[in-house]
Amino acid sequence: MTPFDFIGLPYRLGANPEQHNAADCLTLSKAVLKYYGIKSPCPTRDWYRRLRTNDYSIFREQLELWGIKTERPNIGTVGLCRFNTGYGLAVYFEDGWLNITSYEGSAVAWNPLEALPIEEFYCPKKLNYVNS
Amino acid sequence: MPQEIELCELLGITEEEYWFFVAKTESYNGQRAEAYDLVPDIQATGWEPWLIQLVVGVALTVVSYLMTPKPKQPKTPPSLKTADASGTKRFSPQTGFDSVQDLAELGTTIPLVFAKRRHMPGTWMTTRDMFGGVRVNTKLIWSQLLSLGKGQQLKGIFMLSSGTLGARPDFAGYAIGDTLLENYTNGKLALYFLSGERTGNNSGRFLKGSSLDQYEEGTLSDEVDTAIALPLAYDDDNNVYTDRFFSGTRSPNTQIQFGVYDPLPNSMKFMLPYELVLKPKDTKNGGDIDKKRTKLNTRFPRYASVHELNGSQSHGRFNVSKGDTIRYTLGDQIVDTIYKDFGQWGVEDVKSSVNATRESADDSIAIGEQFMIGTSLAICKNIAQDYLWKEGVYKDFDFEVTEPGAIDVRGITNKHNSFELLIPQKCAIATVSNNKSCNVTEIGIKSTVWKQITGFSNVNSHPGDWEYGKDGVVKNYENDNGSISLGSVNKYIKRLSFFHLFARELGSNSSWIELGGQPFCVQGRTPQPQYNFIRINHPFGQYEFRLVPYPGNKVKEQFLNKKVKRLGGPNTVGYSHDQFDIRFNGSLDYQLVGNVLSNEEWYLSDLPTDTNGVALDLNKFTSGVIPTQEGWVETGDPNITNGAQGARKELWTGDDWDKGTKGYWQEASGKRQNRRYSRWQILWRGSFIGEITHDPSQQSSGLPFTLTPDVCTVIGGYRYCLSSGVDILNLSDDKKGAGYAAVTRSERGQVPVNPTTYTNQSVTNVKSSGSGLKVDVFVYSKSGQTGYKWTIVNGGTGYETGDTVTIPHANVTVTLFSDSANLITEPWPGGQNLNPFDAVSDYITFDAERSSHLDGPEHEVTYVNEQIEDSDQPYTNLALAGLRMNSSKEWSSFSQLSVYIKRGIKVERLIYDSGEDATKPTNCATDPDAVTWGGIDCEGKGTTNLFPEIAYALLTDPIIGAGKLIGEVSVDKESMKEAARFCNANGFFWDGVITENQNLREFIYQQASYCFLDFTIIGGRFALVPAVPYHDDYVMARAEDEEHERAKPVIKALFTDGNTKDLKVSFLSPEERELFQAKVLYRKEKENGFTETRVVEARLSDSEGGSEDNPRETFDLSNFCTRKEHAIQFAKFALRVRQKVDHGIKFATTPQAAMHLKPGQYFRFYSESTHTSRFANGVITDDGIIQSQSIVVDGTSIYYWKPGDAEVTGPSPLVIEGDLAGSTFRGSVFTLAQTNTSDRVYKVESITYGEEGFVEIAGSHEPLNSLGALATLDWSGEDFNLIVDAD
Repeated sequence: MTPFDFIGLPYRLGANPEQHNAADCLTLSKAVLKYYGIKSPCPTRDWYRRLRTNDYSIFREQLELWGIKTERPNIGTVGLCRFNTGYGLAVYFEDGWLNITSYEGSAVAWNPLEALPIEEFYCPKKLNYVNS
Repeated sequence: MPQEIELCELLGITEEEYWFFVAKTESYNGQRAEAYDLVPDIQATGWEPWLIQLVVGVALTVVSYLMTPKPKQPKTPPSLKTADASGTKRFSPQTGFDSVQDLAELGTTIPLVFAKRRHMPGTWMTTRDMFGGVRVNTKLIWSQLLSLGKGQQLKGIFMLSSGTLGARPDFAGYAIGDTLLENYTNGKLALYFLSGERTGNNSGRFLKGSSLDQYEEGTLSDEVDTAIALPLAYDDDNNVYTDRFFSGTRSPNTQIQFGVYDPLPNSMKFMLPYELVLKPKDTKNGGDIDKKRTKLNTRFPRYASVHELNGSQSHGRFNVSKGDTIRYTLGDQIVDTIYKDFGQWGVEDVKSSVNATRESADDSIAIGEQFMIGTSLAICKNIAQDYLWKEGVYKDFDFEVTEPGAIDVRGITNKHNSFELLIPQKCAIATVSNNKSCNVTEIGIKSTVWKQITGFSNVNSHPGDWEYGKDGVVKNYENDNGSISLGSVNKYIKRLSFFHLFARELGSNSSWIELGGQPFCVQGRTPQPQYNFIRINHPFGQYEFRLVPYPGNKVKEQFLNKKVKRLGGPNTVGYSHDQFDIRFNGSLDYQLVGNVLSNEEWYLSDLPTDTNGVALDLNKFTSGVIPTQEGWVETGDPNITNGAQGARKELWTGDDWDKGTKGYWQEASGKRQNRRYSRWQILWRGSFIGEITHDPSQQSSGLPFTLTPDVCTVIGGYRYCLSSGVDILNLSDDKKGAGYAAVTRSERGQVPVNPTTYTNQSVTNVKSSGSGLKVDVFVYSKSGQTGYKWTIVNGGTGYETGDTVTIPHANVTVTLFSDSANLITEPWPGGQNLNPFDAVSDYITFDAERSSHLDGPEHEVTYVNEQIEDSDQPYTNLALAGLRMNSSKEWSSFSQLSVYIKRGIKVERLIYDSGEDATKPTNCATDPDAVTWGGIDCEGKGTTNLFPEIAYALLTDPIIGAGKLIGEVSVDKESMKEAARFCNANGFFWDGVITENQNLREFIYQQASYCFLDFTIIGGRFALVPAVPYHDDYVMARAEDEEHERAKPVIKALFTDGNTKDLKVSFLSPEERELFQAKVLYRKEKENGFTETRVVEARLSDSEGGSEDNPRETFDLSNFCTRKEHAIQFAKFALRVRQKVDHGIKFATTPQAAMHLKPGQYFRFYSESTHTSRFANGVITDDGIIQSQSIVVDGTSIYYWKPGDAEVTGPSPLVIEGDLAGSTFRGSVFTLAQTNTSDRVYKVESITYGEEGFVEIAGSHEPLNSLGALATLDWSGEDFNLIVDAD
């Protein structure tokens, strides 16, 4: 699957796009990063447990472990978005962001760079590049 | 193909089965995976010696002649040659307006003028670099033509635009047709302008003395001393000029000529031109001389006459009726066989003239031609002989009478004077019909009336006694064997032409009403046309008027020494007839004395001097303005005295007792008390009106009501007065046995106030030696307003025509006309006058006479002014131009007034020309007329030529646009500002005129595209947005720019097969995709001059696929585009779009996916599509063996089909186990499913809500170049071949 194929996939927490034809922001980001050859950690049960209790700090924690903050989004950049209902991840793709909001009925969508309320941009540390 | 045959054989399927499979699999070509439609794979794809000898030679000859002895001279008989007489032969003809711009029609769209002559932002202010401005054809909304005697004056109000223009156009910017008004004599015009701002009572009124209203260049004097210059017309009812009359003028073009012409003789005489033939005392040829004199005295017949009436040849005057037959005959007489007594003189000259008369008559009459025979109208129905007339044969012409009248029937050999009998002549009748209901109809008449004597003896110079043998100069010369030869006359002389005016209600088919019993007379003496008018005030409605010529011979017979109405001169006079009030320039009392009807040039010898010098007429009879008051105005013409319909005193009977108009006495009999019931009953034009019964003072005594008819009653708003004095019926009329009274009907109206009368007042001589002229003077005064009228009561004696006298009380100097010495005698040789009444006669006596009516009608209706009283003419919020202009030779056609507008109408400005936000002046509180440096007034309005501002005004302005329907809330003002800045920065100016009703959305959409703008409706709000990327300074970003990144479209959404459905692709038709050569028209403006339409021709270069053979397509931007660069950019864009853009798509998506997308923005569409190919077909045998030219591995996606299957299955991953295909696929023919991806950029055309909560998006393809910039903006110079007109 290419990231283009993710567009339109429905939201399902914990779903693996390749397997389930559904996605959440974590698996979406991971899949896009993988498409660009960038390693990313596998979401754990703990992450999902914290997310179910609206503990979104897990995003920042993991992003800081995985990457470094940057000012300009580019390939491999993951954005921490703040929505009315909480936080979520968006991943840079084709001069925009792929993201999916965490509610039932939403779907993976591509958005222009300025369209999402991104608070912080993280680019992967070099060690996370497959060829590094 | 061989391998395909092999495949069939391997599998054991038939050819039909194989082709079924191929057809089925090809249907999968372009089929999208997952049930989506396919996004197809789109291919856009230099003597001196000689001279000295001569002079010496001549001198020697003279000397030798002078030295020669001379013989004695014999006594020379006296010889006298009298003076010649000649008049001016060359005239610079006066001219009027042959045509006038048509009046705008009711419902015509009021034009909107948007223009601003300006520079590109940031450029130096040189005229060369200016753009914009527009020449506007005006619409005529008020017009009047005036007859000024020797020319005409046009008064008109012209509409330039709705709204308020930003500035007064330059005087130099006005033009009529293709000639600038500034080149016209400034003294012949006055020009006015109103911007549209004026409100209140003077709205739409041009004020005198206002330098803002009137251009100082035009210096034509004011028509009258009033505050308002235009609109202005004369109100006959109130005798004042008013601005409350609507007036429209037009130049009719059918049935406009009128007059009798091409006259035919009716037993008229012919005479040879007068010669003074002396008979010398010692002559040996006295007999010959006597014969010559006899020949010259002889009245020769012209051998042509009205010969029969209804088969009867009885001579006399007859009244003819419709259907009667009149025969006109050309005689067969041969002149030289009849006249043989003139010896050597012969009659060849007579024969020639008389025969020419008959030949001319023969040529003139044709079947179907209308003639006025006498006073009747008749049409030629038959010509008995079909040969041309010649000596020795008769020729008869039969006419059928179509309108009754009187004719004279005479014999062919009779020889009457030219003024005696009624003759046949062609007749043209003019008809004027109202085109609109109105109160006043003014008819402008151009008359060319003249007579000419050419090569005739100057008989006025005849010396001494005019009769041969009498003592005097002639006899003395005869006694001295001398000779006298008269000089010759070549000059124009006067002629009078007459016509009657008739009227009737339009469409009523009722009888024509003759307006006044006296005919109108036009007198002329040169071929100069005269311009006169007749103005008819009538009840509101549509009428038609007929101008019917009246024969001169009938006038001489009927009106000699009587008065007629004379057209001509500066004074306006009037009279009433029935419900019509007629005004005209001229005189009501033109006395047709004999001298008026004759030219003195025909008078033999000295003109008579025995004159009484009685003053007969004055050049005017009124002065000042007669004040009026409401009262009863008698209708009907007082000059009609026979009681006919239309007479002041009307009394006529119809075909029964209850028809016609009459007052009839109904006498009661019986007891005295009953007799009081006797009464007058009134019948008016067939309708019983009422009765006049009891005289209250006599009622009690029981006396019968008065038999005296001088009583009146008011019934139905009219006053009916009975009077005696009309003697058309006798009291013993057998129908009712009663007496009748005439009825005069009066209506309410303005009548002169009661005057103070000064009778028998002597005039004071100013330039005159006459005496005894007395007048009655009537002085009308009311509220400080005084007017005068006077009439001649005693003509006095010793006055000469042209004398001037002063009228007492009125203190006005007038010019008089007197009876000069009587020129009228028996026609020569019976009297001294060779041709009396020649000025009026319908026919001629001498060949030396020429007359204006011989060849064609003398009169022509040149204009019709139709006026409506009490019309508000609310010309508010309109920019107007006013013009008063006299006609002249160089300007006789008023085709179209146009004005060069440099500042169009003011609209709300969104930005300054610098691009900054528009602001109002800061001092509006103290100076409401303040204007900012950028031309924005206190309402925030100014002139613009930026289309977004124009569109904004059209959408929000309640007067010039759809502001009441749309309004500001429905327009995205900020987007409009951005679009205005874009147009301003790129010089995409819009200087044009909206002249027709437009579908606003369609208009804005279309015009926006020419300015590289998209018209969007987002969230119900209208907006214009730049259609192409642009830099920070709003200049359009192009692919070849250094900062080409700017030319890359900003992607606002990405769609894939995953978030879209129902994709539909629409390709442009082959015609719409064919490359072309663009021909773009634009205007090159010349300030205050005329626009030139220029052309930019462009095509793609050969390397880009263009060709000289490409068809041409024209884009007409000349309605608004004034910049060449704009036209070039548009041409390049159009060419690139045609080359690159070939399809559009439409699909449905979720609202979330389209959330950040607006119409006009760009999105990407990424899609995969599946194709099949016959080169990738193969079979799988029943054993699982795979036969294919393509490499097939486990999992290869295929479409397969087994014999017997209704459909092809797939795409499915092929399962290969141990080099053999899985059992599912065995026994099938298959093809590889090939997958392609497409990734294109589109521009959103529309976003609409569709079914099931989805959003439908339509987009047009926006191809990119290799740099990712819009390919349609890739305008590298070598890519185009351009042909541009040089500046």
